[in-house]
Amino acid sequence: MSFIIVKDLNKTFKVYTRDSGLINAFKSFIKREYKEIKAVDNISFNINKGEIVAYIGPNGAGKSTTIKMLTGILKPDSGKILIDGFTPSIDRIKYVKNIGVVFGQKSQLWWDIPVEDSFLLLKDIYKINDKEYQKTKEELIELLNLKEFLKTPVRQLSLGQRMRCEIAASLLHNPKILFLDEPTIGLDAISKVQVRKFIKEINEKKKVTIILTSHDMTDIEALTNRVIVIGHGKKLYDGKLNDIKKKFNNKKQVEIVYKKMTNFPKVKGTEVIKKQRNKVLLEVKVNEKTISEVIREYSKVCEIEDVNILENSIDNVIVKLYEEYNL
Amino acid sequence: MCYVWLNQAFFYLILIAIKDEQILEQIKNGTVAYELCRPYDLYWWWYLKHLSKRYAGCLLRCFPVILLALFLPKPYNLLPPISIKAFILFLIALFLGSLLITSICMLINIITFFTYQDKGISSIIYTVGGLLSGIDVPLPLLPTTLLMITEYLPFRLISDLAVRIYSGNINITYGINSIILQIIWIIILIIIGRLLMKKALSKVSIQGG
Repeated sequence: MSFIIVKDLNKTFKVYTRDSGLINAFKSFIKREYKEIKAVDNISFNINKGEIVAYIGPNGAGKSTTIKMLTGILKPDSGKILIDGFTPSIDRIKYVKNIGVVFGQKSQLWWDIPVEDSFLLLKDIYKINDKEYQKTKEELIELLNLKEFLKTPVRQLSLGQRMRCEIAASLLHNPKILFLDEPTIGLDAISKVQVRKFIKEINEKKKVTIILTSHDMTDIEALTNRVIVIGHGKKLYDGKLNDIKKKFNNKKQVEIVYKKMTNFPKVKGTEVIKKQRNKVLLEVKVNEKTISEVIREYSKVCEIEDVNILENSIDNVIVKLYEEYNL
Repeated sequence: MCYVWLNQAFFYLILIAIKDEQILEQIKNGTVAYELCRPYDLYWWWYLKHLSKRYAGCLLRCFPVILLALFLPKPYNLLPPISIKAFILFLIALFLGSLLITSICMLINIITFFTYQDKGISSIIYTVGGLLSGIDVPLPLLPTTLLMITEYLPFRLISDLAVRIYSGNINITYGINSIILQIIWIIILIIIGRLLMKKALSKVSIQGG
């Protein structure tokens, strides 16, 4: 049986609406109009122990809502969630001892007190015994490089430092599952790499199951191969990131810089995007024509000086994916 | 005079209008999500947070006020309690009063879950409660009709009761009866608070992100 089972999950929100203006503001005192938004619409998936799963989708797709239901904060309207034998919204207090949560946009540390004091508070909240606390703390300090600012109040930390502390705080009680909701939001390149490396490490070392959401595709590429794509509350795709890449990456752009062109060739399976004085940008349909064939055809008619192959970045792939599903 | 001095000394313990900015902010901007990821009962967690905020403030404030009041010339000074028995009863009533006020303030926090704004509910409770608790104006000075109303509401049990026990304005038996009433009110308010909290959490939507 899977570690995390989600079946036919639904959640609807009422969103109050009113037209702008003073008169309409008064009207809304008497009669409020609202529309219902299906934030999560019949979603099902299973996750095994020790997996890292990325949960992606555009803004407002229902990612955070799903995470909030998985962590027991929100109660689903209907459907089943079973995680390690618990139903989160019902056995909330017992269940949350097994999970760690980081919401990238919110802070769980106490603003005015040093990081270490925040950790001590969490130790008491989770009733961690001294020995285990010391051990886990040392380990996290080491892995996340927290030593220099452990005694600094949280309000004086940089975002990158704070995020590392947030992640450490969510792991003090040795949870079996870690939920990361946009853990790298707003971080600089170095911090991002550090956070990623760390996530990978704890997954391998401690066998923590990790569910993360992110808009940064490089995060996801670095961390996991399994992605669940969600849009307008519906599950659109569940599978390997590589498969999406293959599916949407059937076109490559090739830039050829040449000298002395006799006559411009028409090569099947390619399309000219831009043509300059000794430079041409082609789009090659990889399933019809290989790149080397294209180069060979061109070398017949001109002297090639340079070739650049521009691979579709993962961001472009995702944009195409969202476009296909009309998101 | 006792009335004013004791109210002043224990101001932080008994004043209704002490807001839990942190808690209200958490509800408004959604950080409350983290609280719900932790293995504790949110009602009691906030209850203790509120109570300790009051005692922390009170500890800083009460000693200088009491010292000053004791050494002022007559008739402006604070008199010692009427008897040791009354003093013990005063302490009990004061402690229960702080529980009572915390239970009332918890209702403000919980109602904010439904309204996302605490201004409306808190101004109603602060105004009505302030007047009927005897902190704004000593209760014996209120008109009789208002005084009648205070009998049926919990507000006078917050501080008025304790202070009047101290000064001997109320006899011991009446004091003990009122303390029992205090306990009943505390239990009722906690039950209401917990039921509302349960309802709030089952239909809560977390704000933002």
